[in-house]
Amino acid sequence: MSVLRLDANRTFDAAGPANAEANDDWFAAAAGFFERGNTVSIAGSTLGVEEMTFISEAATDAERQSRFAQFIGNRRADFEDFKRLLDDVMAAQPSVSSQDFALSQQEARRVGVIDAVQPRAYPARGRVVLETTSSVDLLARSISGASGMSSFAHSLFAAAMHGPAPALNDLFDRGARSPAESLAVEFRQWVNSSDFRRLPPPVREAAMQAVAANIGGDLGPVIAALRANPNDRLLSTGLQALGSEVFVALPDSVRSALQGAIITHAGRGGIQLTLGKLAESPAFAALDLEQQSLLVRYVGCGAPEISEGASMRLQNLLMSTAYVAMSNSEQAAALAGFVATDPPQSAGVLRDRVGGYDAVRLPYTMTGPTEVAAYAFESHQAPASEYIVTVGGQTIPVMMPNPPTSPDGTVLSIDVVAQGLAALPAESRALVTTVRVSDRANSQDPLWRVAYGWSESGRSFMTCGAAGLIDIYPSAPDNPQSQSSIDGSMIHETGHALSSQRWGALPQPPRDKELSPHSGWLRWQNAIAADGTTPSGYARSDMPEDFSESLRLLSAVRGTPEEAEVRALFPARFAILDELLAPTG
Amino acid sequence: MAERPVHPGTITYVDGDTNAVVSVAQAANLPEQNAFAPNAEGVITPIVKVVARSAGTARFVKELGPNDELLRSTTLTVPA
Repeated sequence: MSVLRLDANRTFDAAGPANAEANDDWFAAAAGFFERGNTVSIAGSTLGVEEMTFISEAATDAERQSRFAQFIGNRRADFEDFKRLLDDVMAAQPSVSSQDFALSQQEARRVGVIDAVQPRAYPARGRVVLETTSSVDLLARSISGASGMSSFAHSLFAAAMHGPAPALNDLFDRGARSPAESLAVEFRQWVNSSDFRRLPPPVREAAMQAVAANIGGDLGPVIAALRANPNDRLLSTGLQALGSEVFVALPDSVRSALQGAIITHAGRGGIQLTLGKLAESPAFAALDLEQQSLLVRYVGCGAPEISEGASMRLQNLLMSTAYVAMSNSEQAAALAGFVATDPPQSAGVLRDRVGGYDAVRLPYTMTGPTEVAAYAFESHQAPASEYIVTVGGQTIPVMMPNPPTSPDGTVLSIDVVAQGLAALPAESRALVTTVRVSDRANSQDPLWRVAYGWSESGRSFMTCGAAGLIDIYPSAPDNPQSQSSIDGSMIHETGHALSSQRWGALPQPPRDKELSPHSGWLRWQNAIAADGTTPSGYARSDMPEDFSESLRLLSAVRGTPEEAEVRALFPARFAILDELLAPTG
Repeated sequence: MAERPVHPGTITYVDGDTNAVVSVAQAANLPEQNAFAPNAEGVITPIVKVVARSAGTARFVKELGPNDELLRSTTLTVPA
């Protein structure tokens, strides 16, 4: 038997009055309630003393019901449910303290059942929104019967679908958790059950729509993901972990991040499973908030080049015999160690790929060539062809060898160079004064080979001077450079000019002096620490390299589907870069 | 190249991966473009330190002035 209880000391017989005579009595009692200035809102319509008078003046009980249905927009309504709720509200008010009522109202509002308190005669009185949609309730009951959904889950589902009394009753009886949490957990478990998956698609669709519309909060994306991937069992498995007690006890931000990451990785089962394991792991719960957040970012980052590697390494750890044999505290220490010592790098994102920087490449125009009889290249004077490349309103001279061939290797074409300039961040490009494409190797190469003991095979590819002069040297015939590689090198090298022009010289390590509190380098140092991640292996070598590699990473993902997730992995650094790269003026 | 200042005398080559000095060269024995470079303001400046680091099939070299200011940075490729 369903009972409604707004007050812990009072229950109400859900069967309600069964005949017109009883209804007459009821209307008489209700009249007094409305005459005291209370209103009840049903399905968006407010019911006050005038409306109740209109309903109660009907000659027959059937006519009353008809007027009531008409009043709420001709929706099929369960008049008895309405009467039961209203009766309870009327009777309970004297014994309900304002605090109790406010709590009940607050909890009920979270599932969309009670809308708001509108005190009139008494502060504790409220306006109750009751949506009685029998067709929805019937659907809920049919789902319950077909799926084996528990009575509690059914009640919660009914509440999510604006169902009235039974759901309220169960929500208020639950006690241990807030109703919204109970509802979310219960519903997740149900949606991930085999029972749910056996339901006809239209029923599943209706259920998800109803819950998505009414629960709100963070469950909507879950439902959207399930709807978009109805056959993804690994997604369901990953989401199933979100119903664990461990997950429910995690900090809100971590829960949100875990859930978002699992959804993001729909279709990438390995990552979902790793995230699911974290979601139900007591060892993960034992980490501090920073460690938890970082671990989720590592594994959950939507850029597969980052997260797949991280997931694989973490999965290896979680499934290792040694880890499984550990105590919870030992496992927590192992996870903390993973965070501290094995941060995944974004080398995969930076890996050359076709069209790697196309998303940030601007259109450009080119004029020329103008022949120059003797131009001073890096190592020698020679005939040159001068082109003017215009990108983003900036004109940049590009000096090509004439003829554009080289005894030392392959000379980049003017088009490749122009495309590289067009892919530069505007602030970096603004520093570029001239590009010299030489037909000779860098004159420093032989000196460096001697100084460092390098073999003959290595050679300079590109130099950027602090004042904005770029030199590009011939590539070895057997080691051609892709457009993506050229783009990336140009972004990296001009990034050094950008950082040094903006923030000044940075003493070479080991540094015994503290950085100035106003130094941009100190901000960057703090950002590295805050992010805890590294944009590439090489970025670890020093702060300027980290800056240039971060700039390169940002350029690689900007405007791509990966951008949001990579931004989440490098929030502090990218915030600084966004400032540096923001249009000025 | 514009009028250049007096060079302090030597260029120190540092392995950036270990911070070890691997070699020292006399600037006077080098061509001008290998011993001097413009700073960020375009002023010709002596190169006094060169720092090289490795990363996979790439090397990165920085040429620095007397105050550790960056003068030039170069990417080198090494066939795999």
